[in-house]
Amino acid sequence: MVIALVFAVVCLVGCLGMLWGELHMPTAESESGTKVELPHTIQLLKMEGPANHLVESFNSQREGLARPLTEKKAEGPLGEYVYSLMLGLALTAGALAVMTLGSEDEVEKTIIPEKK
Amino acid sequence: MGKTNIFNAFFLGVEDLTNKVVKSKYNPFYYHGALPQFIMYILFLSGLLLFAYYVPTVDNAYSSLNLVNAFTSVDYITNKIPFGAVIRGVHRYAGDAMVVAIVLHAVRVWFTDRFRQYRWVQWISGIVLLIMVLFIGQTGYYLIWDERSLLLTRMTVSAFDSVPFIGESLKHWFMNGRTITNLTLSNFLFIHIGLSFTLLFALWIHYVRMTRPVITPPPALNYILMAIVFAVVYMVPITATRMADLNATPTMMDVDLFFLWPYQILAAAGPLGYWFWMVVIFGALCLVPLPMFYGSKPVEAAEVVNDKCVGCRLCSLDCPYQAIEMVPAPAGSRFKLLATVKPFRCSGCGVCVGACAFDAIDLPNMEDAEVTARIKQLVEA
Repeated sequence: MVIALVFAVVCLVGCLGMLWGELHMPTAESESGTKVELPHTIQLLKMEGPANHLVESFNSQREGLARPLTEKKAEGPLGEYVYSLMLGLALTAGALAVMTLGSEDEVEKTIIPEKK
Repeated sequence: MGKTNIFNAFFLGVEDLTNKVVKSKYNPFYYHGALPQFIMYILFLSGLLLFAYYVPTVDNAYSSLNLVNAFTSVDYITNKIPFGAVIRGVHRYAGDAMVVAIVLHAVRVWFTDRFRQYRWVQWISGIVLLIMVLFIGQTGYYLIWDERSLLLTRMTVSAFDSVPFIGESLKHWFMNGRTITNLTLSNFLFIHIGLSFTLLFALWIHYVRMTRPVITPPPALNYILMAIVFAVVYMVPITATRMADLNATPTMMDVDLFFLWPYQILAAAGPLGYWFWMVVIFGALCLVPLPMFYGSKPVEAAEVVNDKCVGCRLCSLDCPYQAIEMVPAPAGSRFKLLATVKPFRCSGCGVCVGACAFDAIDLPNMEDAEVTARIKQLVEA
């Protein structure tokens, strides 16, 4: 039961990480400081302020995760490696969710016929 | 039943502990053979994506913005293609994961005594598969065409050249000519991809004598394996290297220990020493299934009682190891066919004894009367 609870918590953390990664996707390949084009609906709803704040917040988090890559002299857009890490976290959460919430059908039940 | 050896007991103990953490359905120890198979799928898919943009040429007579060769195409994939760097990392580290998974699979098979007698085909084909995977990985490093690739190519040429009688021909086959040219890289690409598909044929040989082999891990384990590969891509990102220059003599390189360890032997022992150690290592591995190297009694094959056999074929059809052949019955017999056991295929599982309705086949070390007595003892206990 305890192990199932631990798995469930890790699963929840993973889902949040996955959500973070998904929201981060538009900025994954952009260089730091590049202005991201927001969808027209955001402008229609007059939500550019909160949306830009969110993008800046993602960028600063992304820079934190990208710093070790810069120190290792990684080749290619650094955001892609960060996205790869988030994808790994999401896959782990998915695996733990499947293992924790899997159905009972894998347990073989032996049916002993009654003698008539 | 004989005593389990200490290594078998170790693995059973670890698997038991793992079953307490995850359900047995998700125990990775039960899929040690299936995991390399899944990693192969990852390699095929990521390799296909890389192949779409790869150019197998070595031209670098002059440097220009429009220079297109193997190195610049790999550079283009890494820097310009969306997630190209990640796909390249996935391909590289999935290859390393494959070597690790194969070695762990071999270790478990060896420690649990699953290489003996009729399983020698699986063991030998497994060694061949390992050699193929190592060579495929090495050709993958040649394809990048950086300084390391040039150094590895020259070392391989010197190793082939040292082979008696056929060394010169091997060298020319490897370079696809007398010197390193565009044709050389085309050859490397052909070997890398062609040998990868030949793996499927070698895997068929590996599986053909197994009964109900598990070749697909459950999805949850596949997700975790992919997650580990993605995490490693982040932790050990692809770093920039320098284009190979045929006029230079590179001497330093980062060595991928999973695939390039033979080159360390080559550098340390020279070409002849290299071949000596390769033959010793892989030859010794191939000799493992020989009965003289393990002390326990071989499996006693089932025996047919010819007087009772009616040639109904039930035992032959039920045998999971195709160890029972139906042959024409001797002259004077009332029946057309007679079952015969191929002792080198028989695993002593006893399925044939259960299949036979005429009591015409038996295991010499576990006869029906003895089994019946034991069951009676257990029931009465």
